[in-house]
Amino acid sequence: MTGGQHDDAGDEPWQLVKAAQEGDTEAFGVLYDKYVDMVFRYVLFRVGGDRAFAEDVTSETFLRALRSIGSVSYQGRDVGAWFVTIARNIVFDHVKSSRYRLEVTTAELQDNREEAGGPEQEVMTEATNAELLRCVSQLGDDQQECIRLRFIEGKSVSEVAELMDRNEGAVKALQHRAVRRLAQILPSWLR
Amino acid sequence: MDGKGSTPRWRHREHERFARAVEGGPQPVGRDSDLADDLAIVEMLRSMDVGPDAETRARMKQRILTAPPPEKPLVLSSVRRVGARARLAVAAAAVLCLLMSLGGMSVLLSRDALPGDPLYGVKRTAEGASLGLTFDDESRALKHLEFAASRVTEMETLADRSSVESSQLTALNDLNSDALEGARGLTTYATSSDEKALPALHDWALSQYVKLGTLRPRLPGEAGTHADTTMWLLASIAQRAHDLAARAGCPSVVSGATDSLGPLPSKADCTSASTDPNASTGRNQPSVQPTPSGLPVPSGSASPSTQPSQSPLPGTSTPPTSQPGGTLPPTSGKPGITIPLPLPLPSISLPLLPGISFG
Repeated sequence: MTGGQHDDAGDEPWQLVKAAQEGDTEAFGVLYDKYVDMVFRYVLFRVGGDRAFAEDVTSETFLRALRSIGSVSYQGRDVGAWFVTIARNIVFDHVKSSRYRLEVTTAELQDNREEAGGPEQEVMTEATNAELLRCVSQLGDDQQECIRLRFIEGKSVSEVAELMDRNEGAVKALQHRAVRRLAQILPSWLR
Repeated sequence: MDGKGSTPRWRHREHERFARAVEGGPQPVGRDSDLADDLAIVEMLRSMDVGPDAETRARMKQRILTAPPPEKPLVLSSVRRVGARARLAVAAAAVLCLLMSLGGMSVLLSRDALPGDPLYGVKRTAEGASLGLTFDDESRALKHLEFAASRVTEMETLADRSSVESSQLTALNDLNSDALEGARGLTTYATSSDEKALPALHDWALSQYVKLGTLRPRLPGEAGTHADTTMWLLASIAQRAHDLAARAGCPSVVSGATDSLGPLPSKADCTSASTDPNASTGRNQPSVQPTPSGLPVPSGSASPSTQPSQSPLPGTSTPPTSQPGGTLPPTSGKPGITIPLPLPLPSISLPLLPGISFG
């Protein structure tokens, strides 16, 4: 995924936003392509691996973004942060009433594994992913965010430090603690 | 969350070690099982396929771009529209309030309006509205009488002005209709529900009569003539009220017939009272006789028998019993209010009740 971004490339998303504000739907399509994966992964993390739900929330996120694009303005932040904020709010509203989703995920996977005739490896990967995500969702918000940005989105320590508004030492501590915690809660079959 | 007994300096070193190892730096050897576990987890996270697949991506894009396109500018325009609607609603409410308060203001201002004034119509309308909101019979009748009394008060003011004859006629006409309505309503109510309303009616009619009589001399021409008619009407009302009240203890109070003043008193024998063989034909004729004292004395002779009567008739000179058909009393004044009215009333033939004459 994306590594660091150049300054001029960093401006480009905001130019796309500006174009979309003036009604350029294609510009918004480009924005979508740029950020959909990241938003999806964020949501997937937050909802503990429910992909169908993540798809719904991601769609809703971009829909709301499109509807309210007139109200966003450049404040020195990454455009992605704006999408993530929208997604976080949607998830928050849903998860409040859908706590059960987190527990349902692995159970569903068990059923699928019995029915599916696909390769064991593929199923295992799916189960592993689901369980991993479920455990990640049990971490604190900052720890989740750090893990997502560092190891899913592949951002560097300095990038994460900027995105999370902390110094690098704090990010290193955060990532270490998050992984330590995961090590404690992951089931034995995963290690 | 780190190991027990660790110092911040130690923890800092561990974080640094982990960070370096994650970036591809020195890997753990043998006994660093914790670090080995951590790195394995990082590897899992990094290799996790958590993004949307191409199919999902396309599906989502379809959903988003086929949704109804937003107008530009988006949020702002919808806010503006709501604002305009809200403002319109507020304006409409303000206009309504203004109209209502103007209406209310004119009703307030009309309170002192005299007949002939522009706002008198509003006053009458307000009275009618007030009547419309009154539902029980007694209250309605009393309201009519209240309006009639207002006309008398207005007449008192009008009498001091010159050249307002038409206004005075208006006042008298309105007075007549309300007095009649009220009287009929009250006599009907009294004979079916509460006969205590009758003395009140009697008193009321009499007091209005006196008031009107006081200003009668100051009324010019036609107004004066009409005032006579009104006075006669008031006297009739007082008479009727008296007559009906007098039969309170009798087996039959009313005859069943009615006229414009309401139910007519029965002519049947009232066993508790001795009746005067003098019976009139059919209708009770409230003979009104202006005595020298000026007070009309409703018919009745002074037969001292047990009275069914009613009590408090302050200011009236009614004899204890009255009989249907009443005879003309002797002109000696009965105890009661004595008001020296200079009333040489002309002889008038009145349309309402035949056989009555002033004189």
